[in-house]
Parts: sequence; C-alpha cells; structure tokens
Amino acid sequence: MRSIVCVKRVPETPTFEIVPPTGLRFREGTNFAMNAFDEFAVEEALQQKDKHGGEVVALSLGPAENEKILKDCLAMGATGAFRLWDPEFGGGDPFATAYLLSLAIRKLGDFDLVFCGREAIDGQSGLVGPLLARALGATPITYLAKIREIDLSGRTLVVERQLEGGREVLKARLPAVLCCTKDINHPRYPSLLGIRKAAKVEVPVWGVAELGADAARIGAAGARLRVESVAPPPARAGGELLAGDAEQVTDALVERILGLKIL
Amino acid sequence: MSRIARVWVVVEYAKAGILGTSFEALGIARDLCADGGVTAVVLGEKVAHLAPRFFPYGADRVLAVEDARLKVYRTEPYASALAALARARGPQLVLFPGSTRGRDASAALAAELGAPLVVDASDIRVEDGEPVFTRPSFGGNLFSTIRAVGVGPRLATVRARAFPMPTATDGRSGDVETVAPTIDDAAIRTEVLGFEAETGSVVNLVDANVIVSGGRGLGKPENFSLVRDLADAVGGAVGASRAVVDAGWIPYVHQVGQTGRTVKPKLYIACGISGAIQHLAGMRTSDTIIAINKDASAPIFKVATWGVVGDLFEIVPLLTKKIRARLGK
Repeated sequence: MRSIVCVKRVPETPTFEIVPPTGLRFREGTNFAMNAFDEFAVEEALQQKDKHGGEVVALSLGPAENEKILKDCLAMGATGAFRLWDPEFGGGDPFATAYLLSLAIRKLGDFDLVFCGREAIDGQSGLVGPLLARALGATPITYLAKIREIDLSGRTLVVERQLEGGREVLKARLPAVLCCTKDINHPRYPSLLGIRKAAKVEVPVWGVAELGADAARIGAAGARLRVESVAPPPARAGGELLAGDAEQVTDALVERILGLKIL
Repeated sequence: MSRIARVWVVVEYAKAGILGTSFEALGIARDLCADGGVTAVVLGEKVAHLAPRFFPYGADRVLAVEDARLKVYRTEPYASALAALARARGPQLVLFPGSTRGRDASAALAAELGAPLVVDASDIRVEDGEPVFTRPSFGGNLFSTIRAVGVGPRLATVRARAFPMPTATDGRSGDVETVAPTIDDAAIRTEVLGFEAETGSVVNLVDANVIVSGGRGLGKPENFSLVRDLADAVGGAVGASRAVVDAGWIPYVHQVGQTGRTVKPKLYIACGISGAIQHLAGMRTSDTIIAINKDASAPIFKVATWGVVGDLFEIVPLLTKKIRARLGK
C-alpha cells in the first residue's frame, strides 16, 4: 500500500501581535510544531502501513524550518519525505497549497491513500484535503474517526466519520483523501533509533521547476481570497467576581442565570 | 449599501429536521440580497414540501432539488448537482450552514467550480456589490476581513450562532421550483452504510444554548457527575477541557477548544477549568461565561462574565439544587 501524509508547521499557541494591515509577529518563545491534527494523520498512515505493508511518504509545504516536522514524520516511521518550497510559493491560499501538493503526489506516482489533518489549528479552513481530493480524482473523506477496513484488491475502504450527533459509516472507493479528526488514534512518540536515523536523511526540496507548477496558480498570484485587514477579537466586557460564602454566591448565580431568560 | 442580486442558501435537512443555522443563513442572505433574490436550495429525494418552512425566514423562492441519489447526504452527488445548477443559473453568493456537512459540501463545490470559499464567516457585508467577509482563525484570536478575487460565485459557510435567528414573517410566500438535477454518476465514489447515533446526554455542542464544562479541577473522572447534573438542571450540553479528554475521563466529542469544537452558546459554565489558551480559543465568544475555580489567578476569570473563586465541590451541587428548585424540576 502506498500512502502520502501532508503535514503543516503551525504555532502551537496564538501568541502574536498584529502588524497592520495584515501581518502577524509571533512573540519570542512561541513554539512552532506539527499541526496537532496532522499528528493523527501521520499515526493513522503508519498504523495502516503496519497492517498492509508498503510505504508512507510525508510532504510539507514551507521554508527550511519545515524540515523539522518532516524529520518528525521520519522518526515516527515514515519511509520518505519531501519538502515543497520555492520563494514563489509564499502568500498562497488553500487552493494554491492543494494544487502544489497534487503536483508532488502525481510526481511520486500511484497511491492508495492521502492522509491530512481535519484542519490546521492556525488557518482553520479545512480546505486543503477536499481540494486536494478533487485535484487528484480521489474520494474526499472529511471528519475521519476510524478506518474499519481497507480492501486493496477490491479498491474500497470502509470508514467512520464523526458528524454532529453520531458516526456515519461510509464505504468509499480508493484512492481517497482522508481528513483525520483527533479521536482516531494516539500518536506514537518517535523512538530514539528513529530520531537518529531521521537525522541522517537528506530531505529533497521540490520547487516550481521540479513540480512543473503553473505560476498563475501559486503564491499570492494564484490566491482566490485576499485578506484586507486583521483584527484582534472584540474585547469582553470586564467581568465581576462574586463575593460571599457558597450560599450567597450560588443565590447570586441563580438570579443572574434566570435573569438571562434562556432556560 | 448596494446589494447582491442573487444569493443562494443551501439549507441543511436530515432526519433530525432542518438545521437551525440554515435559518440564520437565510437571515443574513435577506440582509445582503436585493428584493426577490434569495433562493433557498434544498436537496433530497422528496423535499418540495419543506418549502413553506423557508419563506417566513427570508427566502423569495425555493429550489427543491429532488433525486433518489440525494436521499442521504453524500459529498459527490450533492456537489455534482449543485455545481451543475450554479453553472446554469449563476448565483453570486452561495451560503452554507457551518456544520460538518455544510463545510464538506461547500468545500467539494468550491473544488468542483474552482470558486473561492470563505469558511466559518462570522460577518458578511456588501461593498460595491461584492460580499466582504469576516472570519475567525487561530481559535478565535484573529479576525480577518476577506474579499474574493476573480470572477464566478463566492461561497461561504456561516458560523453557527454568529448571526441572529431572523424573525419569521407570517404569510410570506414565494415560488417553489422542483428540479431534477444533473448528477455525474461516474463521480459517485461512496455509499453510506449506516449512521450510529450517539446515545445519552446531548453532546451536540455547536447547537447547544447552554454548555456546562468540566476540567482538571474535578479531580477524578467520577466527579464529572457534578457537571452532568448541572447540565441536566439547566438543559445544557456537557463540555470538557482538552486535559480531561486526553486523560480519558470523557470522550473527545465533548472537547471544547482549538483541537475540539468551537462553541458560542448563550451561557457557558466552566467548572474547574483553569482556561488554557487553547480552551479559551474555543469558547471565548460565548454570550455569557460563568467560571467556578479555586485559583483566583486562573486565566478563565479574564473572559468570565461572572466568576466565583471557591470550592466547586461545594458550589456546583448547591447551584444545581437551587436551579432545580427554582425551575420546579
């Protein structure tokens, strides 16, 4: 079985200052790491490899700093990794990202499954997976909570999707793009041996030329959405600490809750 | 303010009924759109009979897209049918409810049409005949104002509870058109085998008016009963912090925060939650927030409308008892 896993490097906390009109400056000490949802995607790809054999190739789009999360994938057990970057890729939107990932995946050849996270915790659009599926002619499967079975010879899989109020059981054709939610598995820690081996791997970088990318579809030029300004969330009105013993504060809370007239 | 000529709202309809955010989307469509231009689009096997439900909330016409292949929601036939209709009729703006299904359908349609999609819009206004969107990211810590580039329809999902529920205008009516869609059979790659509904307490956090959440301060998993009892008394859903979900005290579907659900209830009651930045990201836009925590320096108090510094084991059961008494439960 051949799987691809797409990972993004994100700030773990929203600790930034706004630089008008649309820039962000992250505070010193802000930790950047693999997007939390992508860790579940990597783990799921590896678990399926353990079951069905084959390979897991990790892809990440971004500058040199992104090499760290690709090494993390290798240390966990991925069999290969490629970084997609060219200065011209900067300023792209999910359409451009999905386009570039699709070029890289096609360049790698046949595949059965592509694993992504449900969404990135920074941009939170959850668009790259579905857009990538369309670009590859693969089945888009969002909100993946469990893989029940994969039938490689019949070219199908059965999955559970976490939706509001329950889980949908879906049979789908391969190849598919799977967008993983959090409760699908518990990501493994890289082994010491894995970390040592990953440190020695040279991660190739593919740019515009290697991917044969159309300049009109990448970077700021290819973006379909333009951010005009950014702002912090509206400040909350100052809160009130309720004083008194348990009887007094609960009396005060009951009055206030009932005063909202929503129960 | 100039207005948009043709706005579609793809309403969500399933066994459970019509999703509330569908009406919120109709309300904003009504505000953005020129008179006579709001179309509610409903897809299913037999759905034309639902039309009277949409007129009072702002629809000028209802497009009932009926086909046996649309009986149960699936990404590909829905996207295929919507794409063919959008190409033929040229809506300028297509809105979806911000549910898992609305997000799924809108993304597939955007892919199919190559159309720009704004996910999770919390505000939409019109400038020079163009929709201008605001959406949160970084767990509600950044609000971006966004405009789409190029030609063709603009798509957006509407964040649940970000727009007011419109008031129904009785007696309002309009045209109902039933269409048999063009669906590319070759594009259908899935089959729904079943749906396993969650049982027990309400866990649909996104739709809940009231959420009572518990965190580490509960001490051990068994103590979640305090949170469940209060949720039961106020008719709310049960939420949880990431720490207790990761510790296995309660399933992931309850998690509020950056890697869980983003919620915006009318009332959020946080019990024993210190308020890690990832948790605040998921609930800070709630209308009213009550925090009960023994540590006065906990960050949760920075977003709380009303805070109580004290022992939750004493306060929460007492609050439950008093609310039950007042509501006659």
